[in-house]
Amino acid sequence: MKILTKDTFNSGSLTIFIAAALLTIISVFLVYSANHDSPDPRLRDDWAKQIVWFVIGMGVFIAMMRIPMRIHEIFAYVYYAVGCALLLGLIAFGASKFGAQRWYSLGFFSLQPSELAKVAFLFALARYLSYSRRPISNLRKIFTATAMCGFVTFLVLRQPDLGSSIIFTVIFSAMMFWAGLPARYLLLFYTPFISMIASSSMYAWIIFFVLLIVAALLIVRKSPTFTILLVSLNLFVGALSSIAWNHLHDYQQMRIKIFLDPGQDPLGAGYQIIQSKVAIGSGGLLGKGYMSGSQNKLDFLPLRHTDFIFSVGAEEFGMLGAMIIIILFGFLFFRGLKTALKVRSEYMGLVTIGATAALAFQMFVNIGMVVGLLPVAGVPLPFVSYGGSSLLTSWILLGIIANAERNWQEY
Amino acid sequence: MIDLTTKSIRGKIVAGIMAAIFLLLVGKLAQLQIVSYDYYFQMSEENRIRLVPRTAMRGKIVDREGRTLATDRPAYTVSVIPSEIRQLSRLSEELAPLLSLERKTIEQKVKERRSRKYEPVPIRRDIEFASVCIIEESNELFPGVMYQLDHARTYPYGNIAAHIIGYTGEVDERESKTQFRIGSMIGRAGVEKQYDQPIRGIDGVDYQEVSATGRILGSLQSKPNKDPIPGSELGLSLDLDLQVLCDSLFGDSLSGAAIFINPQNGEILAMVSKPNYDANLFSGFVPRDAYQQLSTDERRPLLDRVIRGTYPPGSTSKLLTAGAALELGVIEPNTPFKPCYGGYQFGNRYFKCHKKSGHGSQDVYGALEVSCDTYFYQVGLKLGLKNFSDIAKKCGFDVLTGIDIPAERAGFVPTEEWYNKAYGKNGWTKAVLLNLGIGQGELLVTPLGLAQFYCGVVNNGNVMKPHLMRYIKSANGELTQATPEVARQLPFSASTLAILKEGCRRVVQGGSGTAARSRIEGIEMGGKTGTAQNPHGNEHALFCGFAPFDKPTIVGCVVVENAGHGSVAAAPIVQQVFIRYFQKTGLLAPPPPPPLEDIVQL
Repeated sequence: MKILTKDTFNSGSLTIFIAAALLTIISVFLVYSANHDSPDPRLRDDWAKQIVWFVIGMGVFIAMMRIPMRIHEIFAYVYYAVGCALLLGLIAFGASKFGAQRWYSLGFFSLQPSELAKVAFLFALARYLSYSRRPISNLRKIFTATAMCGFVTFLVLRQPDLGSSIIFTVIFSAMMFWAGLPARYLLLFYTPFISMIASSSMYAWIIFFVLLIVAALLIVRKSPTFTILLVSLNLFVGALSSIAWNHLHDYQQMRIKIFLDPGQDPLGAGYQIIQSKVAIGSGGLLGKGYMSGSQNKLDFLPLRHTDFIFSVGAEEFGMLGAMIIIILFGFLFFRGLKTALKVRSEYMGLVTIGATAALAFQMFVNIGMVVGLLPVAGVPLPFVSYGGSSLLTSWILLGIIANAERNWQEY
Repeated sequence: MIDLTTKSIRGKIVAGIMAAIFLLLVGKLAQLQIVSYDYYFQMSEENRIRLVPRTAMRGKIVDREGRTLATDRPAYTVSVIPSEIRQLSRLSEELAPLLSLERKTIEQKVKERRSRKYEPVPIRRDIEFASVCIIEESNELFPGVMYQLDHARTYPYGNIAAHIIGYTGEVDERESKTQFRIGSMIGRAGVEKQYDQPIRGIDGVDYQEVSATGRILGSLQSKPNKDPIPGSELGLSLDLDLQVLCDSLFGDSLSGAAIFINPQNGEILAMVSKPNYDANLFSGFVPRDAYQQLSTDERRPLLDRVIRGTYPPGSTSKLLTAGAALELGVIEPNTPFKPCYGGYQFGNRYFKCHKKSGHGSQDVYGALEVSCDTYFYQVGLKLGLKNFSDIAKKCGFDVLTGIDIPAERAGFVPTEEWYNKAYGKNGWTKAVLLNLGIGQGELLVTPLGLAQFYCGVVNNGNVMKPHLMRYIKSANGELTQATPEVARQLPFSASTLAILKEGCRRVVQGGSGTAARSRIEGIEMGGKTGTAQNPHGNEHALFCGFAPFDKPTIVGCVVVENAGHGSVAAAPIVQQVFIRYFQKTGLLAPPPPPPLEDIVQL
């Protein structure tokens, strides 16, 4: 089978490809600006390596697009098993970096199994949800799906890699929602987390309960028992977490506060965020010009070619440049959503929405972090951050979306 | 009811969420890049910021008359900012002789702290001014090296009260993850540790502008420095006069412990553990061999004997034996026992009294006065092990006193179960009771625990929690005072306590009292001597005393290791400290001025 032919792309998948390719090209330029004159000689060629990864990424993308989805459907559980096995193996043999076991060292490349597991989990959960004949509101089905997510998340959390493990739960939530999980379960699943956070302030907590009761009554009017259950669960979780909070030592509370608001620790975690905000803010509308970002050039921006690459772009190209990056992402995600709505096969729809959610969430967490909206989580920006693992996974996920886009008529 | 079963509604919800996220991000970008552009642009222009922590002054520690026991003095600290170092090996080679450190030490310190590489790593505290000048003159040569005016802890009185005050040390990498800035000083022992939180204050930050090569251009205009908030002053209940006197009474040759407490509120007036060490050794830069030497010294100067040394109480615990027996009605004050002819025959063993010729017949007062072992062998036997351990536990002999310095140890009260476990069910006899009755054997106390018991006896059975902190005064004058706390109640009635006190009075004031030689002219006092058998060498001398007899304001407990009988070695120390104490309170006439010759010599 010839892979590259005249009909490799249809118009939809071609625009997806072009948008992502633009992001990766921007990435190469930004990595060059960030690192080509770095005091550390090992970083100076990163831009060239990023080009190599780009080429490999495109190949993987086209392969993902052309391999019939049916194959991934058949092997979905095998992927899942392999993914989990690799994660388990990591606990035994993985290379340790920064005290966490996150990858296998393959010499030329360090393989990060949590990235592969993400894709495998996507396929497996989609297969389970679309094959099982039980309705989505069936408790046993919900339980099995949760267990599939829980197991792999646990393995990733063991590394420990908080950022990645959250992505698994986001993929899970998006797919369950797409599968039509009734709103009451969504409420039951997610409101306790909000209650936990809201309980830090009495006012916020009261407002939260007012909204909760309104929402519960609106969504499930028929069942007051459910409302009582929901409210008491939230009361319990909220009360428990504020009791737990009061039992923490001052310094433990401080740690959590700093995680949530790095500004409180200007010498530690806050340093990166302060510098990143200065970089972005000082870029203004049009930026300081390519390779002239003083924050970037003078070494004030930490991890600027990976986690903080967006700040480099926003400093040198201003709001205009930042908007271009955001709009390209926005285009990709709305395309993904459109595809998920369009496809006829339930399996494909689930896979597409999961892949879109994974990419969108990473983008949101990364940009949210560098602009100071969200805690520092160490999640790279898809397509733009330097790094083979991240880039390949992004292209694989996009390949899945493009595949669905090309073959939307299949059942 | 919202229906999520149709795809188009789900699609709209997802689209809505996505739009909200994009609006949020774009809004934040607009806020940073358009609304606050001027502010951030200004910052980036001036952003050759270096954040230099400014260590807060640690609070002073003072005695009850305001004399300084610990304070910070200015000193220079040399630090290195890892992110600004070009070549570590070259830098360490040039710095090493200047700081009188080894190259390896410098490199290790820098590498250890790679995780926060924008933050200065203190390399050497308390460096000589000459080295500061060299670094200042050639700072272009040493990119990333900086010096700061910092503080070094000093203890003006050196060895005096070293165990109580403790010392400080640097926060290491591991601790910095949970608590404080790496390289900052933290209390490691004594009240420095116990009250570290209030004493340490809150560090400030200087925002300095530096050139790309690391030269300091000045402080940042747009961002005001955060001034450090100095730590609180810690006022101790300690009386330095008594502390110094007590320390000198032990001298350099004697080992042991002494503790003086106000029984009415638990304030500790003096607390000496000998031998001790110079706390200044630990402040700033600790030479490794000095610490090594201290920690391997056979006389164990690092051990705080007052709170961690456990000794058999010897005859000082006859108060416990008598109290338990009286309280439970096992004996009356004048219950007749076999007279003392120099010992007591139990089964096929003969237990000797300390007086070979014997004491004859005694009531409980007399037995306490002369510390007759024969009498207390019989009381112990009559009391029984269970009663003895119960009362000892109720008196708090096996729990912590609750003193406000860390690492206290509790005493030990043996029980029937313990003997069964230690010697087997039939491996021991009632003979252990004879030993327990006179305070030898398995009962172990810390000097502080013993003192606390005596405090309870003379304070109507109310056992106060001993404490060193009198007040904490924050930098803005806010005062927190210690409140006396009752730790527990002795299980003795007022009449029992009165009998015990009277016995103690006769020990000192009585004609044949064992501590008659240590009586003080003009003050009525009570006490009890003790001599603890020591399998490793000479007997330990003990004495617990209190005065004035009617309403005691001071209780003293002294243990002198390997010094023989309590009346000879321990009681005189208590006597001397009491005299000084009552001279200060005005109950005794002030000491006569030193003879003229001494003044002339001075």
